[in-house]
Amino acid sequence: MRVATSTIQQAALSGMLRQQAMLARTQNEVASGRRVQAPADDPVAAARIAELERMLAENGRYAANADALTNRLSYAERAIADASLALQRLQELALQANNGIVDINARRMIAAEMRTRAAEIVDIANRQDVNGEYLFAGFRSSTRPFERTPTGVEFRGDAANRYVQADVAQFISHGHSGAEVFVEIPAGNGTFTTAVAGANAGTGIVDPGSLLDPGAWIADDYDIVFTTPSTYEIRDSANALVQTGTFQSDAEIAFRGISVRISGAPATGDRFEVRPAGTRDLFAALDELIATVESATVTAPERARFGSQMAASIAQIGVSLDHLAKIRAEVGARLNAVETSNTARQDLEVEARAVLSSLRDVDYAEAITRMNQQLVGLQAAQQSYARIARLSLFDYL
Amino acid sequence: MPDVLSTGLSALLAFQRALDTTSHNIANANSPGYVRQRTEFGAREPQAFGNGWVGRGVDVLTITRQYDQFLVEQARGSASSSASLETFAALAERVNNLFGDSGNGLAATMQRLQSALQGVATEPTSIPARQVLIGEARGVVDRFAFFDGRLRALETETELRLDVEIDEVNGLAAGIARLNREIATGFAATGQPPNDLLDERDRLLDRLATRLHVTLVPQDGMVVNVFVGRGQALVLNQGAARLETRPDGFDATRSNVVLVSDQGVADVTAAVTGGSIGGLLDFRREFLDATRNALGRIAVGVAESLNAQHRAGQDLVGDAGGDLFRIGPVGVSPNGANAGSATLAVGRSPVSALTGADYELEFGGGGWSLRRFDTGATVSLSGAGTLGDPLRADGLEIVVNGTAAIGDRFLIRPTREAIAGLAFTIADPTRIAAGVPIRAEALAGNSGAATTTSGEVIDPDHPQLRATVDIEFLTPTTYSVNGSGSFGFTSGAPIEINGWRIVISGNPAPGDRFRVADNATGVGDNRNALALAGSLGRKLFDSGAVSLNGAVARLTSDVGSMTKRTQMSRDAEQLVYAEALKARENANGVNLDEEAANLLRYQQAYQAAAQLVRIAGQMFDTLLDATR
Repeated sequence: MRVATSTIQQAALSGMLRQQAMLARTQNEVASGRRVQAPADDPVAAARIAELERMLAENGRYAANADALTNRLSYAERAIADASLALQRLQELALQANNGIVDINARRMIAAEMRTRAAEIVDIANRQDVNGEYLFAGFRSSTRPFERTPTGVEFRGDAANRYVQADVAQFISHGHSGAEVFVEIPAGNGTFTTAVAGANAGTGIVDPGSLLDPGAWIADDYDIVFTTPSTYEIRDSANALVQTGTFQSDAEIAFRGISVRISGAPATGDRFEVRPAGTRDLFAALDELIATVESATVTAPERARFGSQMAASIAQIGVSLDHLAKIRAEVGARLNAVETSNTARQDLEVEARAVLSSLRDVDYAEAITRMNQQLVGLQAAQQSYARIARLSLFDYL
Repeated sequence: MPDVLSTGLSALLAFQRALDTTSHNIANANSPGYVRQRTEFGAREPQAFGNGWVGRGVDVLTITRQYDQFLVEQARGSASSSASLETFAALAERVNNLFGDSGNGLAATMQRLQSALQGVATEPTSIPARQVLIGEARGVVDRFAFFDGRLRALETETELRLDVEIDEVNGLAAGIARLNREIATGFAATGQPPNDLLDERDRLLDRLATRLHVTLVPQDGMVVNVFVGRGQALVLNQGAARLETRPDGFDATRSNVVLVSDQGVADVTAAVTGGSIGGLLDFRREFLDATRNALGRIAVGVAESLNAQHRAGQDLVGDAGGDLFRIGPVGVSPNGANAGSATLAVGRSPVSALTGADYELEFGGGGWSLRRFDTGATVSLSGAGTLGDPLRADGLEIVVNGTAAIGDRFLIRPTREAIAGLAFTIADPTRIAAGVPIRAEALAGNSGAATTTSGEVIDPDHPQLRATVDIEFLTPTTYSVNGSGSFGFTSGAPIEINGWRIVISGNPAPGDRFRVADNATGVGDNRNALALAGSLGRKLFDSGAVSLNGAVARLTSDVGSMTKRTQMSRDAEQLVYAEALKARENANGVNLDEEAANLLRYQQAYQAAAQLVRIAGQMFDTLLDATR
């Protein structure tokens, strides 16, 4: 076979250039630590790398969201705990005032402390987070949610809850609206409320009652009316007779799946009301309690009403405390959910980083071995070229 | 009469010629395209004597080129393909590197925008979070503009290079025509091939082949005709035609390649293949257009999705959210040859049906027909083309104004021009609509166990959108609206009134009330911000199969795999080309050792011939001495 002199030169040169290009590429890989530097190096890996990087960045965002959630939920939890403490003190004070031997002057002093405590709860309900947003105002987070007016404490927020994304498909509410926490508290025992009608002449006191059989209970307005001091009849809102009975002080009066107890001596025509429970505003309930504590107990009916109202108020505070505990548990559950999503996200992140590294990063052992091989190849090409190029027949002419 | 002297002299002359040729070979050992030459010897006609035929010496018959036509043509064809792929790959690599930087890539920028939207969702009343969002949204616009600008610059560069390459082709064609003339003259004068002129012409043909694919047809032995495209003559005997660029009928910024000859002007844009011109045209058509359209489609998707969601929201001061982005219009160019007065107004709707293709709309007397450029397929149109009933196809809404003549054509580029007009329109952070204008809630005192969603806006332009609406349950399965009517209730079914939608689920009790009211003071509302963040991940394109993030990833991998494919073809073709060159050089090129051997051979023969002359002299002297 015939070989042109230029071919020998050209072949050797292009061989060396190719080896140099490969060596430069390997060197670049080693220097940057990246196996895939542009999409064409490995299009499939490049697409996955982009997706993984996007996912990691997204995770970073969710982590920031989770921090904000934790922060905000902790604030809410603190506030609800503080409100519960104040309410417990109010409960103690109410029990103290309900003691029959406390006279009106002492009760007025108790009422004064109660006012301070009630105001403290309003302040707690108006707490703000680090960003100056009211914790319990719903969406109207720059409006002070609870404002004392001549007619009581008015709620100016709304019942909405903001949700924050803690993971791809996980939205966690970052708090409770003031409406949920302080306004819509179940009234009475949660099923019905009892009250002494205003014009009673006797000394009958009604307790908050209890639910015996939820299936038998029909929500309606019931009146227990005394036809004589020892007999009563129960009528519903349509004035239909539900039940009649003989009265005995402190004995259970059971009807439609509930029971109430009336103690004392009711007079003929006295009326006790049983109403389906709606919701009770905590601040209105406290205002009522304070008014009751300050009310006069000179006459027997006044004392009876005082007794009934104190019993109802104390029961309402108990329900409110339960309600706050329930809300606090919900906040705790949300904090737990945030924590769980944090853990899951961290696991995912570790995994994603491992995959990303395997796709993108250079295997140094392999790359350096390859570089050494290429170096040897280039050296061999250079040396053999130098020797072959020196050969010429002209040298011997 | 044969004699030693004349035989010796013929040999002296012949070997001198052979030494000339050898030294010419040695001198041109490194001239590119040089074909080694060889002196062909032939014995002179012998003279008959009674006792036999006596030889009379040697003649130089001719000097031949050691030329292998097949190998030369193979190398030339391979040069065309190789140059075409090399041009394409070099340009594709630049796009590839553009998309390669993952930290500054589109995906990362869009992720930062999504993150900023999440930031506003987490802290809707925070002005800094809103400022970050504005910054990131502008960043996305800038990034789109950056990519589009680079691609545009590449397009401009492609057009310029096309002009330069075509100038080169014209120079080469003129040179080939001139050499055809000189070769024909030289051959006619001597009857011998002018070898070095033939080499020179081959060199020009080789260079021409790296510009575009050519077909050669030899004529009368020595002259060669050059054809390009589908048999259009670039060089015919001693005359050359010219290639020129002319603005495209639709798009004046884009050049077509035409061949200008005595026969007239022929558009050869689609027919030219191979060489750097073929590579430039291929890159423009297959890579650049597709990439720019795909990028534009993503930009339209991002801007339109976010705009639609933002319009359904309310900002920090309680006003309805407007558009976040301004988007470039659909590109419509009438053909320069249109005879009618028709103009088109083209809009995009729905965005999800948009493709990455360009279209040609043609009026065919009976009606309009739409054709995709990339596949060549006809797309079925619906509608009449009026304002009330536009022509619709592939996410386009086309309204025709004026009257079209038969054969009028329009080029429609749905997404190409979108980025040129892309801008973020909001500068005031309070104008970001993170909230929703209405809010639904259960009123206090409900005794049932039903709950409502907080509501979403489906028609932001409804005049009664923010009016207070009370829904009161009459029975567990019926409700009234604002105290009137009785509507059937199914738990979990959406209730749509006044442009909003709520879902009440659970068991309501009679008398339970739900209220949907104006949320103008709901500054802490983040529902729309959450929806905005979610809209970037929603499956939008290709009938709900591809999300915006997915489209970005696909664009990157498409650019990558297309680049990789051309790189691999280029590398393979370069090897083929190198092999073809090697084979050609091995046949045609000079081997110095061979020439050294020839030198030695001819030198020895020359010395021997000189001895012949001396012997002839001595013989003559001997004869003279004998007779003295």
